[in-house]
Amino acid sequence: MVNKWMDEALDLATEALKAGEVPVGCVFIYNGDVIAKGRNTVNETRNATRHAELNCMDQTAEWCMENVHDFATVMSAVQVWVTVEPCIMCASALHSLHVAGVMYGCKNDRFGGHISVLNTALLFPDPSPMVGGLESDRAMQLLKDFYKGTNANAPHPKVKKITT
Amino acid sequence: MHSKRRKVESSSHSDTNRHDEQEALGKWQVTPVLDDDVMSDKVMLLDVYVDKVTDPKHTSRLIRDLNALCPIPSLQHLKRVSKLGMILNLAPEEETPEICLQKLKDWGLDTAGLGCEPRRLQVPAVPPRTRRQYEEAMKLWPCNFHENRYLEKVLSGKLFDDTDRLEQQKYMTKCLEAARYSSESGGAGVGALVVDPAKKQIIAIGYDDRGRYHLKHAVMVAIDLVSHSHGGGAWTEEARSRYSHGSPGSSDPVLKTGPYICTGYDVYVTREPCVMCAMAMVHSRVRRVFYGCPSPHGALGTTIKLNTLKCLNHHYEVFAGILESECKNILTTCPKNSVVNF
Ligand SMILES: [Zn+2]
Ligand SMILES: [Zn+2]
Repeated sequence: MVNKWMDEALDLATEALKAGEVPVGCVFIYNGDVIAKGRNTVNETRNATRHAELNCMDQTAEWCMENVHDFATVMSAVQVWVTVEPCIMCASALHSLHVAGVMYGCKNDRFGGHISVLNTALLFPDPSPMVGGLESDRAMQLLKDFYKGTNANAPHPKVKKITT
Repeated sequence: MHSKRRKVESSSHSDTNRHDEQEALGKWQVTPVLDDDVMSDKVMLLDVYVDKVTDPKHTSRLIRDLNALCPIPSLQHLKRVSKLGMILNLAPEEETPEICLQKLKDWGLDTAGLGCEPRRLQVPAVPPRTRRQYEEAMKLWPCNFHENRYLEKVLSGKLFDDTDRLEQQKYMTKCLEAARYSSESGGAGVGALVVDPAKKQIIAIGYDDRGRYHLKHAVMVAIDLVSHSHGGGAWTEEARSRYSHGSPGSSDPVLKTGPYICTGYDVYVTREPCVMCAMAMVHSRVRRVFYGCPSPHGALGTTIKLNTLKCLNHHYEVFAGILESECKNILTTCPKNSVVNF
């Protein structure tokens, strides 16, 4: 089954690519609805921590304010769809909020916080389940397109195809 | 060790301050957070077969032949020969001395000059990384060592002099102010500061505000304030709050353009950062991290040492213990800490 949430996340990653950002996109699903859509805004904000997942968390916080919901309660029911394995920072933030689940596309060989660099789940008493490999070829192609282009800021990544 | 007490004749404010600062220096110690491989004095061992040299005239020929016929790439750091004899080959558990010797003969070794009674011996398995490891390794077998002088200085505790420590104390005192504010306003009682050590200029001060928003750990807030001072940033309301301080970008004629705006900067934080914050500082290319007291969820020494993960593309140095007890005291009086989990 082609997943519409991952399609949305991939659209956001494509948008990031067009904006000259590392193409990673993410959507948060709560009760069957999209409550946050994020992509990397690292160059735009000059803040290297502004990854798609953190942007989605900020949006969720705003959404909770507007809709008078408790942030922690909402986050614990959120399904995260993100095109690339969350980095150590984002994976930790997601575990700490006990999100219901994380579905991601391709591996993140440089910074991955699930299987690639450090399994952050081991650092949290009640970690969230993470599953990778969904639409990973499309997610990886976007990264390859990005690193093929001119990028003065980042070193060349060692991108590999997911093997599972 | 106690710092030398200066006699204060004048009771002028600055003299009293200086005296207090000097005295406070004696109450804390800075500890580097280094890779376990470097901290340990234990020598990892490996079994080899060693044989006596019965005729020294053959020594140089034997070294040459053995290196050609039976090179041991994993033991490049060891000399092939010592007073104890000549290293013939690695000694797998199941391999007897006879088999070892027979193999070498089969490969064409002329055993003239050897005792031909190889015995199992344990030698250092990896090159020593510190002088202490080198000294331990040398007790077992002569080996090569390339001293890292900076690392030796770090290990000896002589990296920072009193001037450096006074400066560290000054920055951490600023962090403590932010930490106190954090504690009073529903945060976790943690403060952080970003400084440009080359210009001795404070770039940003942030306080933990996780009571209001889960991700607002002091380090995350401070990093965003640095971005803000360079014309970016995501949490703009921070820039207006009382204990957050981002020096305006206009004071810096050369604005950094990329996202790696913490390049060359040092971060001070009252409590050991969690894994999210530790990784945020990797992304931001921070140069050094100084923290006060450890945290049960800390990722720079307690649960892991993120700064020593070899596969990451950036590594900052970490030093712990600056004004440790003051930093800890704020945490114990902070009600928020009973509920936070990282
Ligand atoms: Zn991330
Ligand atoms: Zn943190």
